[in-house]
Amino acid sequence: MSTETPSRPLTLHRCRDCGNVQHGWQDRYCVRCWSRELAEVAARGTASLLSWATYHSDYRIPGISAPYSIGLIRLDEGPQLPCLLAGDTSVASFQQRITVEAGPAGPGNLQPEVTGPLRAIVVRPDG
Amino acid sequence: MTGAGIVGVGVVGPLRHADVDGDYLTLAADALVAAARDAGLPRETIDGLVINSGGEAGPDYDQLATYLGLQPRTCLQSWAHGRFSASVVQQAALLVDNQHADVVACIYARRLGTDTVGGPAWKGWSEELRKGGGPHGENPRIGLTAPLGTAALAARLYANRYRTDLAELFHVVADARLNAAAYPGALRPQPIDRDAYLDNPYIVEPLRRWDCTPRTEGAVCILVARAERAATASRTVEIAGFDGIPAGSGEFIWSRPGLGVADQSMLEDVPPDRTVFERSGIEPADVDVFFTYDAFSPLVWFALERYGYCPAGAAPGFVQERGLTYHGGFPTNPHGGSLATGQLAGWLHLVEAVVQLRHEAGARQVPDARLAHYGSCYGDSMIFRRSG
Ligand SMILES: [Zn+2]
Repeated sequence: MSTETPSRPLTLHRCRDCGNVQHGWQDRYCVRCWSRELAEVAARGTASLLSWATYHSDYRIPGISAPYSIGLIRLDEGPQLPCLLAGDTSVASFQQRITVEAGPAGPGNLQPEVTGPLRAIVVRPDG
Repeated sequence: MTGAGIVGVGVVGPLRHADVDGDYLTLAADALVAAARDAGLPRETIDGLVINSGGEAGPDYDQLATYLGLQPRTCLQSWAHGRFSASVVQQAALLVDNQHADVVACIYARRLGTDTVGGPAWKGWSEELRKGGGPHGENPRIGLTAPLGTAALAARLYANRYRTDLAELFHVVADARLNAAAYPGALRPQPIDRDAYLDNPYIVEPLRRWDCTPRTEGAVCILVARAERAATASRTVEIAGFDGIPAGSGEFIWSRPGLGVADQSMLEDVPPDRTVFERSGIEPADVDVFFTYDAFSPLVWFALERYGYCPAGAAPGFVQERGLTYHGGFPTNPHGGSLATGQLAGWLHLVEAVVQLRHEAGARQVPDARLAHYGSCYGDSMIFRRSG
């Protein structure tokens, strides 16, 4: 994957009061205790692959054209999120370990490589 | 048991885009007029209006009332997504049951553009980019666009967890076709065999074109009233009980609790969702005909498991053994559903529940149907009972 805009690391929010770890976009309230004392923490970048799917139809999304594969991962910290898959998806298996990389923070070429080990490319769903 | 029933139904479509005559307003009006005639109720009796899909997708309540010369005293309009099909009828039943209205017209109308659903020119695109993900878990920044994307992820997760061969979705699709063959105007009435299904191209693998609804338009009106308002009481279908749409991390639109899609926990043992049965005073075994939201074929499996018709992971075998046709062991979407007849969200299903319980379904009539259950995999659920 080459990018024209810098990547934005995947961050999570950790509650200072109860320790709950949640998505980055859940940015003001702890979903478990409603504390507003949240700390931004970098994701460790390791996850389990739960599912994957391959787009054969081209939806003309800027920066990416079919075929490409997406995945659903469970971060080791707990939250689950969708990703773009880079690497050879023919070897994907349920709950396989997968590394997580940050995608571009803005418009850019997202077309993933289709060889090599599977990697999860994530772009936060809040831009 | 509520005091409300369905006293009239009107349908336009489902139709291909090119075959639609008029805009969403005329579609909605045609459906409403048809429903009033079906009920034998004059326009002046309609004093409530609940719209499913307004905004740019369908008519807004004020627009439709003025267009048709209605004078409703109480109106409501939901988010413009078809998932609220049964919820809209439930809101009407609450208005009627609490004597805020006598006759409530529930409206769904759907007029699409020609832009690719899920493409950047689509009017749903900006919604897909909302904070936290789109209405179906989309994140187009990584190519996860269109409602189909997360349905495909859900299907593969199901297969991963229960070691299911997704070729078994053939039975869901094939039975929908057999049902559609008896529905005049169905868009996919041709029977298919397993080889043809397996040759059908993937759109988002593992889901094929035939695992998705055809792209259709049309309108539905359902009139909800107290039973005694009906001109012909014997054609009134009683609303026996209902349950709305739940939300939170345990729920996802294309899943059932415990499957593990989106932020759902993967749970091995989730008790069946029995709320609608308890509120209606019936048991799942009493249900004569089942209806479920089938925008994508795996959703039928998820719904069967959600309501406890079969255990988690057992739906593929259940469908193959029982059969979903109107003359099969577990009649489901006997009108062919969205998959084979055409997509009007859950609205055509609700109309067919009424038609079946009136015993007016003709060739596709489920014999002596007295109790119908509409239940989506995401939890929107209603029980209907034949009058008398
Ligand atoms: Zn907390």
